[in-house]
Amino acid sequence: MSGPIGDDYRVLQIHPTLRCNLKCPHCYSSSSPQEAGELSLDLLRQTLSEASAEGYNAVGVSGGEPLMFRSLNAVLDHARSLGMVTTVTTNGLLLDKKRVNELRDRVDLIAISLDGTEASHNRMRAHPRAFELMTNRLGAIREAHIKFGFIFTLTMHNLHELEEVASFAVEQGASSLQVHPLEEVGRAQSMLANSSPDDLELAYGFVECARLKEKHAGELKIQFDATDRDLVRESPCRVYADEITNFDELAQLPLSDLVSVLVLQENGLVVPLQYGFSRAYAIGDLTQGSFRDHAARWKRETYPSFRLLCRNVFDRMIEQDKLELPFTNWYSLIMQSSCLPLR
Amino acid sequence: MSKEARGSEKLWDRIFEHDQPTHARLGEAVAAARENYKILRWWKYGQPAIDRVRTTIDVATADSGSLIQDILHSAGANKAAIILEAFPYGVPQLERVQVDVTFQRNVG
Repeated sequence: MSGPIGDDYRVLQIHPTLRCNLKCPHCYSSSSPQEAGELSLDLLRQTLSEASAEGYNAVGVSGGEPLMFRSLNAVLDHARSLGMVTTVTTNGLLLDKKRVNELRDRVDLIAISLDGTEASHNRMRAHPRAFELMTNRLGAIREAHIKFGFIFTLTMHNLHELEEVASFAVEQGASSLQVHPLEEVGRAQSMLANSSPDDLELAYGFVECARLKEKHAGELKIQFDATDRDLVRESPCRVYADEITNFDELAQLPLSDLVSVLVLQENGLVVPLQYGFSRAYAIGDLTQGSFRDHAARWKRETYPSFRLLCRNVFDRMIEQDKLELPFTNWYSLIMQSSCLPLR
Repeated sequence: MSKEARGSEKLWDRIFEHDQPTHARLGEAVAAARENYKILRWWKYGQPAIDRVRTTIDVATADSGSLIQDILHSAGANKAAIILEAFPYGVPQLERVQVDVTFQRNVG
């Protein structure tokens, strides 16, 4: 059984707080400095232990700004004690030497958001010096020998900036560049409406990624987060859309065998695949019960409807295949479908 | 839909900003590519003039970047619409990629 990201990593993505030092127009979680709440350390420790028992072997802490989450170090320590791979996704502005030293033996990868050239990045970050401040922090990460990469949000309008972003990433010593299509959820829904790349733009995006991959061969790993229609058509299991009849047997498997990406939101809700996924398919609310209990119930009661949702999205993708565009944003499709009324 | 231009349009404007088109140049690029890569399909549209040429090339991922560079470089003499569509065969580690090249004269 494999999911969109394959078999190697089964990820629990944690958004412990929506508190952030920035207020980006494209933020999918509508984070901002005005947000205050955060998940408790006890809840997170227990959840990590139970998620590990269900086969999740990687944890990614995001937010909000994870460096503003007070229990970050303790959460990472606990994840490490469970043998999990740890990543932190940050805007980079708070990565001073003290924080970098704290993270040095706690994270496997720091992912830093980078949304284009300096002017574009500052505009997307709604901060006039975001690029400069972030850049000034990179030296400390390099000195600490922490592996780091950049995440570029691809919109309908910024593909031409990717080459400069890739060159910057190489100059700064980044190991990876992830090109991720803008998701029109959260604040982006109103602030950047109609700015997510369509399938045509994704096709060009792939070509440009391939070109840059060749240009920076051996220097930079470039990951393009789009779904290949041909591959999905050949392997529906990659989008959880293969035919299943033995749900009772599958309910005995670890949860990570059934869905390889989970998201723990700041409100305690654990959802499959992506922040903001419909509550109708949620694993459960951790303020109302343990991860272990929710997981057991989800496998028995909700998994069949989750699979039906995935199958419906797959069928729609194949139908749209008449357009002959090679890529689509499956995450966006399934997110939108998850929020439609249950049939 | 926002009126701002697509990023891909801005990218292409930059790549083709100086050169004038000839469809022969793209034909040369594709011919050169054929020596190194397996051609799966070839179509021609718009007889008698070759207004549109489409070819599909199956290449290993490691080679796809240089192929695309070759095509863009050769097509740099063509102030025309070049459409490249690439289809990866593996996720997350791509093994092979199929590149579709479409060349259109007198477009845009």
